[in-house]
Amino acid sequence: MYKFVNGIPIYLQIVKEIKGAMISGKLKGGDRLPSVREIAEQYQVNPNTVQRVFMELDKQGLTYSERGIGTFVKDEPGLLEVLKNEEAARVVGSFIVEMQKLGYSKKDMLSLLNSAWQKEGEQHD
Amino acid sequence: MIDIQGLSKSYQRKPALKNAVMKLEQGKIVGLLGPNGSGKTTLLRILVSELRADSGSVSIDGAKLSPALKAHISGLTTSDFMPEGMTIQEAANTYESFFKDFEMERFHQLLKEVSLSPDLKISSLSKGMKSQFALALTISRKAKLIVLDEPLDGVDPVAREDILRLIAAGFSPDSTLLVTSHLINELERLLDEVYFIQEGEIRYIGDVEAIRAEKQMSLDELYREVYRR
Amino acid sequence: MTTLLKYEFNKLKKKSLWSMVTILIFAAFFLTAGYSSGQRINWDMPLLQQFLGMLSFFGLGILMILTFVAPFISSLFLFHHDLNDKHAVFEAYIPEPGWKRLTAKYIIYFLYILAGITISGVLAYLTFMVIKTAAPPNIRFGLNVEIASGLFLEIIKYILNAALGFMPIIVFVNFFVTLHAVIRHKIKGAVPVTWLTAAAAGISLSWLMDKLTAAQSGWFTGSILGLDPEMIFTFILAAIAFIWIARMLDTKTELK
Repeated sequence: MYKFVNGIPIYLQIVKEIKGAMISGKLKGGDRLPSVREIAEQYQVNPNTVQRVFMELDKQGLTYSERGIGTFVKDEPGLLEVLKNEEAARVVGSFIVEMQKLGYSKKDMLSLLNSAWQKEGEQHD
Repeated sequence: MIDIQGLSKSYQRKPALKNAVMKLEQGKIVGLLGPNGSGKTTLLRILVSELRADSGSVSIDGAKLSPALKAHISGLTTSDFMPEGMTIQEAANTYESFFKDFEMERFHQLLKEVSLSPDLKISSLSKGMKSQFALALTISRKAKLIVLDEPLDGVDPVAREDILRLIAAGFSPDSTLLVTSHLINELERLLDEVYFIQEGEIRYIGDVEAIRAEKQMSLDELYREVYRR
Repeated sequence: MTTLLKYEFNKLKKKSLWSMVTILIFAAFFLTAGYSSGQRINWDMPLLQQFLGMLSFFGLGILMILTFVAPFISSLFLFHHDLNDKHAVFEAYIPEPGWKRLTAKYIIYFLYILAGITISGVLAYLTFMVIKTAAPPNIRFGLNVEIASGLFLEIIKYILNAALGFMPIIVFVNFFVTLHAVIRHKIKGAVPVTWLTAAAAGISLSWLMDKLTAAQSGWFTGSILGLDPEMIFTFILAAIAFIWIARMLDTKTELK
């Protein structure tokens, strides 16, 4: 069963999941999203909540609906970049907040990041 | 629109439900949450005519509770409720013959979701399977009001997940679903609106997503806060 | 209504099919045993044969009584179970008024009782035939067509009378079963209270009947087709009880 985080509306958590699927390429431009019923079943949530998810995606300009056919991921150049930047900004933002809590300055943070990157980079690059 | 006004009920002078007031809108899944023995089941059993209220009224789209109104109410208060010796299919046929809003196709689809064969004898089912069968039967009716009493009670975690999936898949926006549970965490994700109940007193709490957004708490935490001594 | 009848019939079939089959198997066994071993019963026959012959006629007698009375008693139990068993929950969900549900039950009960009495009658006839063929040749049964057809009509009348006579009793007992279901949740001592009301009602009823029909005969000898005042009175009371039960089913009965 999918675990939702307490204290954050469920529809926003599903929206985040779907955005994640777009970023990772599991959902590509022009792909049809699963139906309300399918998503409700997958996450075991209220179909009304899924309806809200679709409205939110639509509002954020990520999807479009065709009556009687379904909801599709928009196939616009640069959309993926926007999403990626958005997510990156969020990750960096929370990183900075957490590091500040630990009392790191910008300089300390950067040097730590550099040395960590070197270690990680050896493994991944 | 289901309108419950000032419903009270006591057993041998012991009050079980005190002046309950609820307004349930079409297309919503509403939770009635509270511990065992708080009066949830009493309310649901009144709605399906298993019990009679001492006072107060229930109406669905303006029509008061009556034998004829039962055609619009689908209930599940126990998973053991069909005559002995029937198979799943026979039980479904009996349901279809009495309830015009029963959709056999949907029922079979739901059975498939939990991999139950229609030819099984009801008496041969395990407790979890019986709950799933009874639930499928109940939500395959396109009734105005569907009530489910503790659908997750006494079932193992795997079957619980199946049951949540069945409810999510089987719910039709033409219905109102009222579901009780003392397992608040498990049910939370399914609910639009929620009422709490304790010692027979019902309290309206509100829209579940709004509560998550505004109070940044789960329902379980909120329940503890509301009833903190 | 057909749906309700079908439902009640299926329930009855599930409950009593096997006991019916068992009874019929026993009856067939007793009849053949009686026929073969009882042929020209006399004291010179081997003891076992005598015993078998006696046993089969004794058994047939028991079966006749059983098929006559059992449907009546099991009808009472069926109603009680309909209010108290697991499927009582389902019956509370059925969107039909109480009087329709009750009528369906009574039609099925009536046919059930009728079937029982008829089987009992058929058994009696077959036993008679066996005795006749098995009897020593010096005993003769004088039975011509006229007497036989007259007897046949009498038997039919008797069967109908008996079946109809059972119905008021069923209605009255059902009334108290329903009453008990209604007050169970309100009063802890529902059982004694119900029995007390039943007893009081019974006493006043019999007192009323005595006054009404000073020296008349009981239900089973009095002809329903003739409609004596006692029967009319009973049926009026049964009708009132019927309406009352239907009303309680609609608005008052509660499940455990």
